[in-house]
Amino acid sequence: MTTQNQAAGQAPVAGAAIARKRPPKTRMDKLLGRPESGVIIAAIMVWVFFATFAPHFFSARVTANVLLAGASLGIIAVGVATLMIAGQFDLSVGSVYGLSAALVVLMVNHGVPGWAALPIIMVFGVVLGTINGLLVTRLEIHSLIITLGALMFYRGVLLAITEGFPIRLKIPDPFMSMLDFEAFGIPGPFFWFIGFAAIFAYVLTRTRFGNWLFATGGSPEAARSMGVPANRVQITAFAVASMLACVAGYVSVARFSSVDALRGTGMELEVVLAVVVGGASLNGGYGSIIGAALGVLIIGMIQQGLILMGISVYWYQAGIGLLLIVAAIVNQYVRKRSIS
Amino acid sequence: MTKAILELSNVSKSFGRVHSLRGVNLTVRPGEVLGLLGDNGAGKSTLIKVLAGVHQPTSGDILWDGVKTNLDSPRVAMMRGISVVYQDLGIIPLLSIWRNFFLGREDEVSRKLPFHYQLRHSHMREVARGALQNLGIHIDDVDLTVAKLSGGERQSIAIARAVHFQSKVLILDEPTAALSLKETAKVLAYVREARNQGVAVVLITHNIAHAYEVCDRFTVLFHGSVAETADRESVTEQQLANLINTGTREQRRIAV
Ligand SMILES: Nc1ncnc2c1ncn2[C@@H]1O[C@H](COP(=O)(O)OP(=O)(O)O)[C@@H](O)[C@H]1O
Ligand SMILES: [Mg+2]
Repeated sequence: MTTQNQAAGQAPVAGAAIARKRPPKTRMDKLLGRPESGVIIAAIMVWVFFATFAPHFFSARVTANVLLAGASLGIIAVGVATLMIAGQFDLSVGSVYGLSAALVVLMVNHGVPGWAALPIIMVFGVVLGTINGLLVTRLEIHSLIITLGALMFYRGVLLAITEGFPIRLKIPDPFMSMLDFEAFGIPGPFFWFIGFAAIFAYVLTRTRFGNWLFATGGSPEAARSMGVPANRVQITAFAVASMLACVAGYVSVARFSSVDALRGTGMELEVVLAVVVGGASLNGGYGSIIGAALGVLIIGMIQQGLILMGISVYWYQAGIGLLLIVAAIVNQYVRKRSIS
Repeated sequence: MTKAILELSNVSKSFGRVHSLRGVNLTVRPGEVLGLLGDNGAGKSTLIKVLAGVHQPTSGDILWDGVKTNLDSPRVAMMRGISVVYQDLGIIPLLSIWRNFFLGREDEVSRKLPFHYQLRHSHMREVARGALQNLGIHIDDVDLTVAKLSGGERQSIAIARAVHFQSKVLILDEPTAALSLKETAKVLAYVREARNQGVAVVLITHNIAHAYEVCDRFTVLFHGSVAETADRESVTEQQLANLINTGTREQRRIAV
């Protein structure tokens, strides 16, 4: 039999590979072996840069601004990072964020107490995300298409119900005012962001569900063959992304008491940017919540830093774009290092 | 003779107009190694994917312990105690070795906390390392991503995994195809060991020498149908080769 000879002929090569001794890992390998390695370095560099060149970068007010700017984006980024690791995208988060904020304002204005509006809007988010997830997994339509449709649809609904005008809370809600605190000079919304980042960093690295998320994003077919309910995992990730977008909407109402119909426009791409800067792979199966959170902070620092340096806001976009490209190059290097 | 644990009765599977399996009957018994033989494209992989719950039969029945059953998903099959080491999938390149090792089986090594299973990282690393060593695979750093391993190493991890989670039925799709002679001998020894412990093993291969060494019985597939099922005592290696090539025990060309 030729097949037998083939197998015998191949054997020694494979055998050598099994016995192959690997050089011990250096400290550098360990340091660079994590998805967030690139973004940690980038965060330090951006911070040092503005600390050196931007006046008052250390002032409490500026720090608070950086953290505040990051809060909504950060809460949403946690969900989008989770979803991207599971192998899917959600372009509708910006619209869902705006719509949920408007719904919270309308609910409270119609007498729903603020503490009740929070779970209601979270369930609303879970429902929207589950619809996205079902459409994507059941019909096998790419998530970019489904959520692009959702982006337009929910933005349209928001414009229609507000008729394009800003809406605001008629009377302050005691529960929501309570959430709008400031501790140690850190604005309240930032604590929500840190809270969710910590919860999901834990879920992704320390739980069975986290293992399933990475496996599903890495290879849905293989994950399924090992008994992972890959569709359910992805639907759950969609639900998480939309739910966190709604929480961000709620938190923004607690902070600003008002919404305009364009709230969250363009945010979907800013979030993707933060998540990718944070080391996640667009192909799924690779990434980190900590990285995404740092990506968000870098964006906030660039925003505030450029303002402090008196540089035209037009340069902000250019700076962010440059950041994305540099980060992508660094992350590519880190990823290659960890898998080959 | 021991009672069958898993049986296929007149099972067919078509992918559109490709008929990969036609009226297949198959019996898997505890404490026995069944060799599933056949040339490339004969339908071996399709058959085990039916056994593993990946594919549903187009027609025919699956019997578990004599009772008609459905294997609706890989998870259902896994819960029944069917472990599969795949040729083409079954390992996630971007995950570390130890995470791969426990994928889909995390509950056994996790803390059951409210709302979730918490992975016991260091315990899982330790168990994975031990299980690999049992099979003679010396990889100290189980934090390596599988993408860094050779094909042979990946296969070994999948086998070590299946052996570790002692299943009722263990299915191996071409397990020795990428292994050295030394590792092959070890794997075949493991297959025997599993059988001696009462596991029903299905060994898919087109290497007759390997099959003849460990299998108690053979089922030969030819163009999606069973050419013959025979005990080892009643068939020679040459006859098996003929069955694989021509669908009969005789040595003749198919084309005439
Ligand atoms: N998912 C699929 N879709 C279509 N055809 C398939 C699929 N899987 C297997 N086949 C076909 O079924 C036949 C048997 O394949 P396979 O079971 O992989 O054979 P073996 O493992 O014995 O080499 C082949 O003709 C193959 O092309
Ligand atoms: Mg095959």
